[in-house]
Amino acid sequence: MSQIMEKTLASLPKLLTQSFSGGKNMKPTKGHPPSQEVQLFMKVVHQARSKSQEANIVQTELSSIQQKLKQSDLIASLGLVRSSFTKIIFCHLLNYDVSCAAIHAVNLAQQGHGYEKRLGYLLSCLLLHPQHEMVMLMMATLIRDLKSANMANNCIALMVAGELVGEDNVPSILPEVIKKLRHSHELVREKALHCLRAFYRSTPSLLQPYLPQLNTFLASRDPGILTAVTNLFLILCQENAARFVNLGPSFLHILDQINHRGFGTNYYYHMVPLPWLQVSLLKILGCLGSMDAALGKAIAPLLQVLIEKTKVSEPISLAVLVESVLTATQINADEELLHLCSRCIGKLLSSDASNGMKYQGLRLLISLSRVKPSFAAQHQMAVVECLMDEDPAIQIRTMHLLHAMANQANVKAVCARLLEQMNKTVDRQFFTEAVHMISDLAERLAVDIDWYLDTYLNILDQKLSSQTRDDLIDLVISRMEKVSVDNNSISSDSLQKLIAALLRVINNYDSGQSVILLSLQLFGVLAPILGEAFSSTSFLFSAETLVSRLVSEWQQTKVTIIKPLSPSCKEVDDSHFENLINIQCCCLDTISKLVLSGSLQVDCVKEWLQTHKCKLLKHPSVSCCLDELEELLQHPEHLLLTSQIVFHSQKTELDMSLSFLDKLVVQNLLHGGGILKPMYIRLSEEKASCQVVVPTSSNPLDFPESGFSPLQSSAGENGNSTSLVSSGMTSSSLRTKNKWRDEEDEDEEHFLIVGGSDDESQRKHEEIAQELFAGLGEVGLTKVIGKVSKHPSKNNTKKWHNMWDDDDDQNHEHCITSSLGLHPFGICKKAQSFSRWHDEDVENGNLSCSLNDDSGLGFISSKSETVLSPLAPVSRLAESPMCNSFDSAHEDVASDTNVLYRSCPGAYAESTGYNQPVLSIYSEGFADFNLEKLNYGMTNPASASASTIDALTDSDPEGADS
Amino acid sequence: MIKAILVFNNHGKPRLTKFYQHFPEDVQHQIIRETFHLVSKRDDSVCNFLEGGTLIGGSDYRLIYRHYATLYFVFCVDSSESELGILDLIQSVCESPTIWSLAVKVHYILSELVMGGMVLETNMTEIITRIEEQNQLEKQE
Repeated sequence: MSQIMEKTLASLPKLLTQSFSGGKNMKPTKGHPPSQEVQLFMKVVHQARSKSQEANIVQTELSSIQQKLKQSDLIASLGLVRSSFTKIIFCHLLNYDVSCAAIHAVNLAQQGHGYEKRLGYLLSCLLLHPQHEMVMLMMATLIRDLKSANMANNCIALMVAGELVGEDNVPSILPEVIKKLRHSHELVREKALHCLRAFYRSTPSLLQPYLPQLNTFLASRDPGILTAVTNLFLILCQENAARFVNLGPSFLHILDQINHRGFGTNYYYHMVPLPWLQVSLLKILGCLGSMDAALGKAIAPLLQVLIEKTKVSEPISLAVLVESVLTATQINADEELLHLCSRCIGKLLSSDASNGMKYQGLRLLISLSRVKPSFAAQHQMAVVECLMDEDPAIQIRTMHLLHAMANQANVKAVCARLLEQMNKTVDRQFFTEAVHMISDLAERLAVDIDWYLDTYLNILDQKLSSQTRDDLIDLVISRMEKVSVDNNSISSDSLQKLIAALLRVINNYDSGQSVILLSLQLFGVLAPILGEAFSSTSFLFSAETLVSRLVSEWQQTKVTIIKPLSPSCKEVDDSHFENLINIQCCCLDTISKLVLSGSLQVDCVKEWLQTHKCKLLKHPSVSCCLDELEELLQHPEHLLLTSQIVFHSQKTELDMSLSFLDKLVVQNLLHGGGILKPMYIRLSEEKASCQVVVPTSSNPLDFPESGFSPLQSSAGENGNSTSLVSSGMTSSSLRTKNKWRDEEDEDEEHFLIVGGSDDESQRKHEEIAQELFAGLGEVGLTKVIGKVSKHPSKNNTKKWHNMWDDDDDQNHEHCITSSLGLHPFGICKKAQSFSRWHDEDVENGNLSCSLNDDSGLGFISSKSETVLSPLAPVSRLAESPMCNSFDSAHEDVASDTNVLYRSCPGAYAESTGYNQPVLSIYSEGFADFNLEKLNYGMTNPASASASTIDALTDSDPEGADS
Repeated sequence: MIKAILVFNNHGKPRLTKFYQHFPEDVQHQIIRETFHLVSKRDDSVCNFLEGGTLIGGSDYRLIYRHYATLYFVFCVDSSESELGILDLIQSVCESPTIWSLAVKVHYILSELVMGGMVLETNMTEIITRIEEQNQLEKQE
């Protein structure tokens, strides 16, 4: 344990016996360890044998105290007051209700002096809250104490004001608090700042005029004042960073001062100078740095020093380190700093780190992969291990990471994981989050319609709140409506499959109600494009079984309802009935729609209705639907007009902007309401920064511009464009290739690569990693078993010794994994960190053996450039979000592909390559490429084009193979 | 910001509760119950951070806890708080068992550590000087 802590411990008894009760210099009448009486009471309570006995003792004591307090004059009998209040506070600590003492506390705060006053204030703080009626009684006392010349009174009043003064009372006390900002003593100024922060939380508008005054406090030399004012600015910056960007240099200066030992050793905590202040400052700088590039540049060197130099000896220094990395990911830092962060995360995630560190590492990795998703791939094995971790907290964090790094190539695997986790979890909070994450991914990244629907059917199969269920169904319906309007986006093949799947769902006895509801509605939506794909008999048959099943369910529940039920049970049943009715209505609705679109023959339906009408429930909504349908059937001549009926017309006169609500919205905003953001927008905003290959689209519900485009480009196109590019650009691609690798010296290193491993679990992990990290910049997965290296990564050797310990002569080739002397927090000692480091070299090094294509083929090679994973093109593209620049030659190629791509919208259907994984991945890559071209189509610095060329050329040999 | 500090024993009986955001009494009890439920079923070997819990701030809500002998020390914070920092803070708060024998002092010490849900510079000697400073001031009366 550190020296400081030892000293602290040694001084505690002194503190406890003396300082609170008045200090050693106090007169004996005033000085006291808690009186005999109080001690006795505590002892009795502690010795109570049962909960009820304890409660008994406490209650008796409390009522006797109340009696005494009522009778006696508070000021006259000091001893009594002290012992009574101490007992009351003790009881409160044990969570007994002592609210009856509140009035005495308020009185004591008003009338008492010194210690008694503080006791009174303390108990008031414990028992009252800003909305409490008795706070009004306190106001006069508070203002009087603020005005008093006694500093102790000033301080205590400022502290209490911060806790108890709410919105209504702030105006009356604010002027006094502002005056205290100019008090001669630092302690009072500091407390005044804390008080202002509390006021700002409840009434931000009132404090606006005083905010400029705060700037002067940034120049203070007193750490207390600096902490107070920094915490206040932290709130301000989180609300509106742009307004305070000009203060950035001041904060930077303070942080710099702290790290240059500017504040004396008194303020060291576990050998770290002012850690809490540092964390707050880093947070502020993160906010401000993201707004202002120049400031970001200025912060970067300091962060680099912090990340490199911080010795992780105590959790608190780790806290500063973690915060530094977090800030680095926010300020648009350069490659080098991000790599540093990535390595730091690698240490945290290393398999011998404690769970707490892994948890933090995941959090950082989420933040880092938002800046650049490819970094997540550097830690793939560690992430997979976290995925397998037994700790639910870590699993949940890992899920968030997966969500953050999803792209079109790995979205299926990610969603599968999420679903699996969702089924396992008992945590409702995570469950809802998972539902939103999956639906967000499906909306943004879905590559084909089967998977899209399947995913939704899976989610809807879960137990969802009716609100969420309806929202999700709405999302699917609106998406499918768009698809069905655009006739070409679904091939008859996939439509057939779709219909079969939906019928299966309806026919399945185990299907949940929401799934059936969705399927039925989808039939209605798809009605206009069903055509021959639809067999009316099979649908009617399904409808019949469904209706009969509903009836039997109805009767079953009716039977149970006769028995006496608890209210909650009844609720469940009510919603169950509602659902049954809903499904029947929906079923009839769909039939009407199908009749209208001509998919169902009037006669068939009439016949069907005749036989099954009796099975329909007697409920107003159902009868209403039934009437509509019958009406329709009785006037078949109207059906001749079908050709004129436009389904889902885009021109429908709906005021989608909801402009008629503007007045209400404005009113709400004026009253301080926030702007409504639907969940999916919030989620996609969060994700916006890490969008990799998703083309921009004005509506989050849209598929990438032309329906399910990524799969549409046919194999022929690929061959075409690839050869065009490769013939022209081979030479330059060879040169530029290195730029996009992680390690500059990789070519100098040689690896012995062996594909395949004996270890079954290892293999399993690797398979998972392959799936999850597809399209993330690293070439699939590598197994490097032996490494013959003459240059043990010279670039980083020196620098990295510092990060976790200072010992420079460690030979990192030796991997000692014994875990001696583990820190209580689980920070590993040097040996371990070195072994980790060694691994990392391997991991970050040349990745040349790819096992990554779905067909299970492994490519084994000793030279990295010759064989590349089929995913390489996608990932390279993913790596450079601005790869929209081409010189003229590429421009041609690009526009060529665009034309091809556009001219065969139905290519998806015809492409035989769809079922072959390699090809489909290719086409994905190309579709992305095209879309990006379409969307940005402008010229940018030439450097970016390198990656595209790289990707295209790399893909050549594979393309030829297939 | 710190929303609440809860200390309860192995049976979920509260030993110290301090809320920095006001909740009605019954909600407070519910929060304590739910927190105990979440924390108590976790193994000592797993990490000290917890997400979830629907009561205080939804998904923005974290629990950071430590389990010492018979007591759980739980800090409920929002996502803007440094988790590791809080963990270290808990260690300092509970490093001395003698603290817990005297109710009043606990609250004083706590109010020096955390004010309005923000952690002040924590340094035991610093706190002691502060408290002594205040006592000095009192003496001047």
